[in-house]
Amino acid sequence: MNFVFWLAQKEFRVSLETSGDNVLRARVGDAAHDVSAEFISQEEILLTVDGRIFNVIVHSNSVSHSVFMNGKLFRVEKRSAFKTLREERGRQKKRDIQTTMPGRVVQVLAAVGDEVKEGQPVLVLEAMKMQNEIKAPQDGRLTRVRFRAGDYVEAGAILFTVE
Amino acid sequence: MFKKILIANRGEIAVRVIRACREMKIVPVAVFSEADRKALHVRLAEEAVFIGEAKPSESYLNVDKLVAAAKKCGAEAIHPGYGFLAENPRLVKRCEEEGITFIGPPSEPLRLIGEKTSARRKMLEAGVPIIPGTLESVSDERDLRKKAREVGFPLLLKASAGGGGKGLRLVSREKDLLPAFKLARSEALSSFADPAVYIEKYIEEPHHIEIQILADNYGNIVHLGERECSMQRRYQKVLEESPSPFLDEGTRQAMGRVAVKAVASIGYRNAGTVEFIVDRERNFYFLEVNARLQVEHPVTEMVTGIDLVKCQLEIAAGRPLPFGQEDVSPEGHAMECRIMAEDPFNNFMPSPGRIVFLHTPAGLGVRDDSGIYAGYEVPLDYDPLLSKLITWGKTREEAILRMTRALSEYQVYGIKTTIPFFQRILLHPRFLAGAYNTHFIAELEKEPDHEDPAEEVAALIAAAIKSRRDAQASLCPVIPGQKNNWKVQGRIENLAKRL
Repeated sequence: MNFVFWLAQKEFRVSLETSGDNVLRARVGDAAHDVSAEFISQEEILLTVDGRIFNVIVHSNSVSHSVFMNGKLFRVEKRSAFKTLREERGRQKKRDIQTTMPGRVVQVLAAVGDEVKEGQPVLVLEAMKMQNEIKAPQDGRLTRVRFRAGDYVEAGAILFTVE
Repeated sequence: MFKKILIANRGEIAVRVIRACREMKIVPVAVFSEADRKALHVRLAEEAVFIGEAKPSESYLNVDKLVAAAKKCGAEAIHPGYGFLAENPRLVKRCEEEGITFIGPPSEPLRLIGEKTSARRKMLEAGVPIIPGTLESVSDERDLRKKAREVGFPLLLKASAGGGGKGLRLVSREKDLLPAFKLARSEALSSFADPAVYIEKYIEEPHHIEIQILADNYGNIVHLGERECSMQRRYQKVLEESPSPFLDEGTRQAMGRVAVKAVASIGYRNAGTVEFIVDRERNFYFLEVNARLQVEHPVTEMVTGIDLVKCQLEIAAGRPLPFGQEDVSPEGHAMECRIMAEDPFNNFMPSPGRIVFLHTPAGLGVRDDSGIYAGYEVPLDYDPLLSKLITWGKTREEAILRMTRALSEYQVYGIKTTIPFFQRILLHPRFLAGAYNTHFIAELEKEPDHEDPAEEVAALIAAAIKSRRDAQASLCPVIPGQKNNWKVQGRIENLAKRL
């Protein structure tokens, strides 16, 4: 079986073929690897790649596999979804600032219509007792601020937009 | 000894106190907020009292609710843990009025040292060396500028009621003074319900080293050696070890004596920590007294073999210390990594969420003081500390190798943690040589991180194997009585292709 994945903004072609009892031959790009895989549960795999053991959790949805390994997270994007996402981003000139963490807005330091400079703090977000300044990613005009002081925000929410 | 105590805290420290209670046949009573209904400390306690909304001011910071909870369950004493109300004189006062024993110092020494500017004045009087700076807090903006010029840049703005790096800002230039002042005040207000900040001279290349002390009600005070706490990120300790690789025996002894003198001068009782800043030439200055059990207390427990929480309970119950200074002889080397729900690959952003898988390390010399379990949802309302991994070794080298090994076994999936960051620190030549100060992490973050290419390959292969399995699963017949929308969708798609 052949797969096309994206990882860290690079494209990888991966193929799998069975080459014996519980043994797989995997190709990543041009390199071949001897692989064995035991599913411990639906998402947990005891993986051996070229003799080295990896304890892996793979949590999947329709666009990507989240691969947890050695305390790290590798987000392996399925081809089509990643492409769509990139094309959509390419169309946008404005920059939406998303938060990667949920939290509470403590203070909004600029108003809609303000000209902001790159690196200028626009709002202060508090999560887990630490206050973080969320800065403008580029010079431009602040066209949208979606929250006010005291509001709770979810991870992934768009905080403000700079055009 | 007490029969029942209330633990006015949450997370790993509540679990730690519960464990000591169990071993002493004391009934541990947990308290919990709306966000903590399923928390580990509740699951491990014998009784638990609901105290209110997730917001700390409505629950863990609410003196009235905690005192009411203690009365309701019939607890004779309250253990405050660290953070929240641990150093709050109002809780201690209320306990004294209500006839509940507060497991910690009495209100008077707490008042003297809880407010940092008064602590500095008191220490100056007692002949303990302090860092140059203001002896009063600064509230007025004009006053701030004048005082800042007197102390000189770079300087630190510190929350008078603070601790743990919250409400603390380094200011190198005068033009940064005012914004930093405002942020420090607002952070101090939200963390400690008191916006007061003061100014302290910034010591270059500092080491942050603290001495653990125990004081009973009969004037016996012992110190239990030091903890090296210089491994900090944004003034938050991340890794601690004992003994300090930086100190010599003479300085160590002198710091121990000064720490005992410092706590004696204020009539301190129970467990406490005297923090010092140590400069390049090993001159040490009093920083603060932490009038509580510290996060990093296990490091001292591992080298001394003394259970600090049990000592706290014994002292609070009116028993004399069962040992003297001559009986304290630290052995070997211990270190602790604070495993946080933060993303080390994205500027340490908090990473709350559900833990889908958890495997914790074990084996000789490994201790995991944790507040989490598989399936637990880490709330965003509180501190991101998940667990403390502690290792002990005969030598520093053995403790480090053991920590490296233990971290490689530690698997927390579903949220991001600082485990990979510790793996990086533990391999760094400067850490291995013991040659680090409080700037180490800031410098480390500028160095490129070495990626392991084999991991990337393994991740891609794992994704391929999972994709293949998912594809096969979608072809499986549906088990009667078991409805699975994914399978239904898969079959619809397969049928559609055939048509």
